[in-house]
Amino acid sequence: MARLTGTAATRPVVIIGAGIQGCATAFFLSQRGQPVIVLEKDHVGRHASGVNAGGVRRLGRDIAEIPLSVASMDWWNQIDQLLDIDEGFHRQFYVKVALDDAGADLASRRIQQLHRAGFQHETWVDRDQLLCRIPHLTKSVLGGVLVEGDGWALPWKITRAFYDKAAALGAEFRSPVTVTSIDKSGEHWQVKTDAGMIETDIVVNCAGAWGAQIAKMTGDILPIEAHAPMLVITDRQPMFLQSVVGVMGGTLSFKQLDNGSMVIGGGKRGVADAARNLTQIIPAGLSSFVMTAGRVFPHLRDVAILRAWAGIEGYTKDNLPIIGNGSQAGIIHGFGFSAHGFQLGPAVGEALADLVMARQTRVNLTPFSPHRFAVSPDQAAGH
Amino acid sequence: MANQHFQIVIIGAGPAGMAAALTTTKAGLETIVIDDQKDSGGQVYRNLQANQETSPAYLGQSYYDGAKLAQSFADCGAVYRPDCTVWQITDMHEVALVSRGKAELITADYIIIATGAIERPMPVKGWTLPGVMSVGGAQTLLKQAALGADNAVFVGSGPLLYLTAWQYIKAGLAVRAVIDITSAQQWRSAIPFAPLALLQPDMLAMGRKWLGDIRRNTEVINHVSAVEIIGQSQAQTVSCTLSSGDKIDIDSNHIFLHQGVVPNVNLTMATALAHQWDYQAHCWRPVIDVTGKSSDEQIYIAGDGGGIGGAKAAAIAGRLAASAIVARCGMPRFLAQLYYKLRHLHYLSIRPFLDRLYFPHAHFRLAQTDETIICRCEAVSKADVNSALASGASGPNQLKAFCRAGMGRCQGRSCGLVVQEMIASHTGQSMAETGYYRLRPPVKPITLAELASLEGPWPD
Repeated sequence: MARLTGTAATRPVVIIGAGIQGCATAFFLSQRGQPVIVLEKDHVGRHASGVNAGGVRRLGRDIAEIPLSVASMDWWNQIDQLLDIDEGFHRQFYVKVALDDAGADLASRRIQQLHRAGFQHETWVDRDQLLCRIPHLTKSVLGGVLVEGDGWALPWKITRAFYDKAAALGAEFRSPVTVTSIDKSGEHWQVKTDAGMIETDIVVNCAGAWGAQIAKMTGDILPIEAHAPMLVITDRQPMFLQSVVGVMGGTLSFKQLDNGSMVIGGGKRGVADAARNLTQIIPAGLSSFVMTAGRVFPHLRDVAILRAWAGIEGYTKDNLPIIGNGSQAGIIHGFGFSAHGFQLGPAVGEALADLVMARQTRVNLTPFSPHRFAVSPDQAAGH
Repeated sequence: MANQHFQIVIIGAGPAGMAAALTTTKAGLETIVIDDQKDSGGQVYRNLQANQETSPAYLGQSYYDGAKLAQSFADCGAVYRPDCTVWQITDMHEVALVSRGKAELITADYIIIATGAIERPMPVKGWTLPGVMSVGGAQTLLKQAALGADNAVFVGSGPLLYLTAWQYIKAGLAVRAVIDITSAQQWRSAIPFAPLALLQPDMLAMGRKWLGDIRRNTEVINHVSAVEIIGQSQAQTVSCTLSSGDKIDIDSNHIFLHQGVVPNVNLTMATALAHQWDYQAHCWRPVIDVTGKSSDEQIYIAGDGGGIGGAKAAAIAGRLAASAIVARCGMPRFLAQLYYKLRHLHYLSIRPFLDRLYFPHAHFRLAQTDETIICRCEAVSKADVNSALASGASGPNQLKAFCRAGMGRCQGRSCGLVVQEMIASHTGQSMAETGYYRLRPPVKPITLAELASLEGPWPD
């Protein structure tokens, strides 16, 4: 691909974090011929990018996020060709079902709100249509909000595929390497690590739950909190579901993988210990979203749960990601996806690559500007 | 629902768990013992009460030795909850369990984990064929259901193998052969520790008796360096290669494998307690102090789950851990602790000898042929693991993502050590550096409705 506009850096761009955002950014930059070095403190896809629920949805997004999500879906629809993989994206539909009147009310308000904003992709389907499309749904379902063409993917597979493709295009990955400081030195940056120092013109911070720590090294105080959303996976069952199912007004994500296992998530958080890479499962939280799954699919009563887990993810105060230039030249942030960044990955990678090359981005990134949290270091220290 | 609270929660009612309960209840501490079996006794004294009615002699005196402990336990006043699945211990010291289809959380001041041992995997070619099972499984059938098979072949080494073969013979079953994989080299490395083992003359005498009776009643094949099990849809033949190079084929449809036991670390690892690789016994063990206290001040580990020592050592370890806890509850037990510690060391005096004599040989620890299944739950072969390693998987947890090894029902119990060693030999790292699967609750599978029952009844 020919370089169109913008200037490329002569030194390799340093990307911090080999999650999906970092790997996708490395991929797009490498595709454009820009040398990159990706630093990863653990290994590729170790945290939220490798172990999330794998929903690939435009459904239910904050209105500010929809254009980015729609742009990303263009990439998802060609993900196999893009990354040389098979069946990377299980495209069907994603539905949030209404189980009671409150849920149905929420659904109609949501659809009206989207219509006013000019979006038509979420539509109401009534009970009969829904039961026709998902026969195992509870008979007491009232209907649901559905997006055709949404679906799911295996998070680790996609993150790994971006990594493989980026590496094949020349991106250099170093792990385990921990960044210890980022200092301005004349016109460029010195990224110091536990495995030596790298000089660069541009640092891209894709450090997920650790993004605020990295941002702080560049002088940006961008508060995020680390949480650990929990998931469970079940024993294999005969196939009964191709789509992804959530609940209006509740927290659930429910899908069946090709091998018959079901992945059930529900936004309930375990305990995250980001400093030690540890998560802890909270039984009551698991119980709550498994119960929600039971309200949607009561026939699964006796299916065994094999494993519960939680990945460490960074959440912002407004639950929108931080994507954009930092306060100093040569620093670009892309983190804090607040547990809905997986689907955004390809478009975010493209956008961050555009920022690196000082190009116009395809999607307006203003809603995600790091400056919306602007706090001077003095303020932050002063409480 | 408010959590139930006990001063002491003991998990497992084998010798360690039962003995610990005797000490804590005697000190007046409210104690609950949660057990996944239908009756106390653990694996070693499995189904003891029922078997006492008919007292079949073939189970041997060492089995009936557990009767006194089981009786004292039944009378001790601890709340006993059989048939429960413990699936998590949280860092708030809540023990999450499922009993009769319902989940419960029980909080504790102190937890004693006494979940015993599991058999080391022995992935010889054909180990997944129908007709092949572990010696421990064969012994369970004998104790629990008086079930056995004629013409079986016992393959491997270690006390449990000889004991079970001996029980088979005493039960009047025809044992086709015992194929002993203990090498001359292992004898040589064990002999220097024989004098120490003499502190346990009863155990040595018992072993001699088993071996003598076995030799008199069946063919024992020694100096075996390789074993394959051959069959199409069912095990038909065990083919063994002797260190001389000769081959011997033995036909049988029932083949029982065993090469020792290792601490069952699934619960302790899922609880994020510190563990260390034990080079002498070639297994993981939790890091515990002299009393059994783990890296969590409130959690103790007693019995084989803290390091293999056998039933008698386990019972003393239970007493020791319980005494340490009683002391921390304000009732000094200095002399008792000293006494139990000395007795524990005494029982362990045979271990250096046994650990070396029955140290698992690399040939039997690792699969020898590409098509041999390593992870039985997800049907991952040796070749699959190797190709994951070739494409860059650098540790047990990455390997899970590459090839699904360790992601099935058993949570790595039957493949973890094999996979770990394959990775270590690929990367050149030590077993300790390589580490183990990150284990997750539920430690044993529970159903959706069971889990949801913390919240309420399952929707219709």
